[in-house]
Amino acid sequence: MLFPTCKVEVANLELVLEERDCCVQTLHTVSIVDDDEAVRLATVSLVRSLGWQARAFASAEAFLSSAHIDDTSFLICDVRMPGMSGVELQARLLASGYRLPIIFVTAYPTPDIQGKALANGALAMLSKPVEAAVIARWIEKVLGRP
Amino acid sequence: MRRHDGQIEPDAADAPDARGERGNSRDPSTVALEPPPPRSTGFWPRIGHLRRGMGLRLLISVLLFSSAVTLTLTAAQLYLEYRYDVGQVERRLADVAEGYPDIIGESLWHLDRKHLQTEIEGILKLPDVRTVEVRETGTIDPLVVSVGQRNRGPVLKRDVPIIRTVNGELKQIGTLHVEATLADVYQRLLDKALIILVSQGAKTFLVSLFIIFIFHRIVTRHLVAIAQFMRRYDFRHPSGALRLQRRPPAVADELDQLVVSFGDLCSSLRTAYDGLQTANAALERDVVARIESEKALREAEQRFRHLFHNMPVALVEMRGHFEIYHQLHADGVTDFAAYLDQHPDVLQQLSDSMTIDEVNDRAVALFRARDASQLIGPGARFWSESTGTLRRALESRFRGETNFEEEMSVVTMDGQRVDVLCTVSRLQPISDMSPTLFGLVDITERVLAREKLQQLEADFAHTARIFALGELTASIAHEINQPLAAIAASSEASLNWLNRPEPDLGEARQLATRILADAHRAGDIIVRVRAMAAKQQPQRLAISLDAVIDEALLFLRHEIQLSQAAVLHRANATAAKALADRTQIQQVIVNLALNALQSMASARTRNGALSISVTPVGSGTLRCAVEDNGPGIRPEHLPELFDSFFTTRETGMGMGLAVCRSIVEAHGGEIGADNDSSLGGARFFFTLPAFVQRD
Repeated sequence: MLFPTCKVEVANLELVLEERDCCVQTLHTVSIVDDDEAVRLATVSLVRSLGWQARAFASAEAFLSSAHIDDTSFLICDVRMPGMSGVELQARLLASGYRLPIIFVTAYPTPDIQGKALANGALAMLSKPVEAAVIARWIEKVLGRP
Repeated sequence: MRRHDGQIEPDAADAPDARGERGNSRDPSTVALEPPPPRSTGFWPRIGHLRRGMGLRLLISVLLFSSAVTLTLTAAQLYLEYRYDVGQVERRLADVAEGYPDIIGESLWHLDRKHLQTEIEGILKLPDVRTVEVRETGTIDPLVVSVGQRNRGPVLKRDVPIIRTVNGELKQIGTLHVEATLADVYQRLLDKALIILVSQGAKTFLVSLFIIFIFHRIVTRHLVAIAQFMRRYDFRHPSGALRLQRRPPAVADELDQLVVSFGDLCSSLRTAYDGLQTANAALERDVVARIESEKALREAEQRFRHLFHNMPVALVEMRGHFEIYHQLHADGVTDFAAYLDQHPDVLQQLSDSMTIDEVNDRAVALFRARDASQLIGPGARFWSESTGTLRRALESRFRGETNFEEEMSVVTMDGQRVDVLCTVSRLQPISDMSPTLFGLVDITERVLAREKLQQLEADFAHTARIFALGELTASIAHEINQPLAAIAASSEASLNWLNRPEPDLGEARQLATRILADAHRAGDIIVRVRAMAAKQQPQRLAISLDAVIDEALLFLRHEIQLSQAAVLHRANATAAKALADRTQIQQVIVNLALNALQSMASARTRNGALSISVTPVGSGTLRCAVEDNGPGIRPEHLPELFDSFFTTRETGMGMGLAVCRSIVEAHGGEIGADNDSSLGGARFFFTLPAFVQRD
């Protein structure tokens, strides 16, 4: 993790933790948006092996047009994708009034994109390949233990 | 011409000169007709001339004819005279028979011998009467009184009965026999004939001589003069006109006509001679010109031979039997290549029919032969290493081309392979047996240099590939990262499933399968990158351009995804394969496609589109086009687009398109660019030789 973003991360975490208390009864679903099928399927498997429900989307557009935004508790999203990028998806969700906890995974993190994502409330921007433990920790931080 | 008292004789002194002067130019037929003039002088020559001339023949003719006429007329006259004389004799005998029987009868009746004697003597006095006899008839001892003598020779006889009236009745009492001789008649006739013949003969001879003289005066001497004039006449140097030595007659006679005709003949002879002279001169000029041109031809031939043997190029003169070409042309065969495909033995036959006629010193050296004779003979060995060249040369001949050039290899006498540039030139018009000249230049050095150049180009292309890979590092990293990320996540997940109190083996197995696929995917990417980065000798193989395009697009997958451009590549299953190096062509396509993507990205083209297509151009070429709907190429950039170090990007080195050009041109193709893309942006295209099955 890059140091300049640490402060923001913590602030966002507090916000998410508050939300968790009101939704504790619901079954948590983690949505995964990635254009690369291998990565997408692997992430879904990982999330499920951690004990969460997982739902996969091949593009930002597919996620936005699906009926699963409401029951998504956590979003793992690729940044560079054909069509709408991950950061654009985040902006759309915010504009629509959704404040989902999001972690971005990308093969090429750039300071611009990272800054923009974190400013919009992203939990973190992780470089591929991401360690499973890091993802697990972030999900557990937000959703608690499954 | 000389006159000799009525006799003309050829001038004995002149004649030999005239003969000598003319010499062999005389017509042999003239010689045969005209015996040589006598060499001696005097009387005999005149006789000889007379014997030769018309005079003697004229004399003989006149004499013979006159004699014949004289003899005939004399004979007729003598016959008439004879008839008259014989008639006289007969009339006399008739008178005797008329007048004497009565008187003689009286005397006989009385047996008066005396009277009888007297009476018949009177008869005997008559001219020509030679014998008279009276003979009593009807008695046993007849009384016979006769006078004269019996003579031999021609005679006329007459027996007259003597009749007397006895007792009132007529009774023959005797016979009067009279004989008249014709000897006198004959004697007279003979005398007369002699007189006539002598007088007539003399007259005829004189008249004949006179005729000869006149004929000579009027005709012969002029003829001789004309003959002499003609004998001396030289049409090359005419010596005045022919004139007759006589007073011209009032009216032109035959001789004048002859002279005029001869004058005409001379002038036409002169004209003909002049014409002949002109023709001769022309002929001589022609002959001289021909000799000159033959000499020039010989010199040209010598020069050619000299050149042939001293040219600093190996030259081989070959002949073959190409009669089959006529038949094929007649049969309407136009595609000889296709014909050779169908008749593989024809190539062998044509090759076997070739013979090497001549080689020069350079050729002997090139083939490392002992001498020319080692090479002269069957020409098939010439082609042993390059049947493809032979085939194309034969096709070129079939098309009637005068020249053909190709690089080929020949094997020297010591078994080494030599690369040569073979230039074939055929003599026009190309005929079956006209020789074909092969010029051979040893290009081993050139081939080595070219190989070195190709090596340099390959190295350059390789460097460019490495550079391009550097540019693609981000994409490649991303490409490899993706499967690695998936592998990592899947492995973690798998461990999670296995570490559960109740391990879920099914999930773990599924994940392991996926991990394997992802690992392969990563491996493939590395293989591709390694192939791109590898420094290997370019190889010309038959490759499918569509497959190479697909592979290049895999390389650019990430770039394409990022640019969000739509990629159109419709593989053409029927397209021929190209003869090219796979890696280098892939490099070209990647380069061109990347350029298009970057161009569209930098212009922020919305709904970018990239099309890559392959189309055949003619039978032997393929054309690959990379088109986009970006901003296109600025016209001022078009001329220098493919130059080294030309770039419009800040980060570019400007080697990409230069390398593309170097690669394509090394393949024998062309590369170009314009703004005529059907998508509306730039269009880059390059051509490559198609792989042809034969050869």
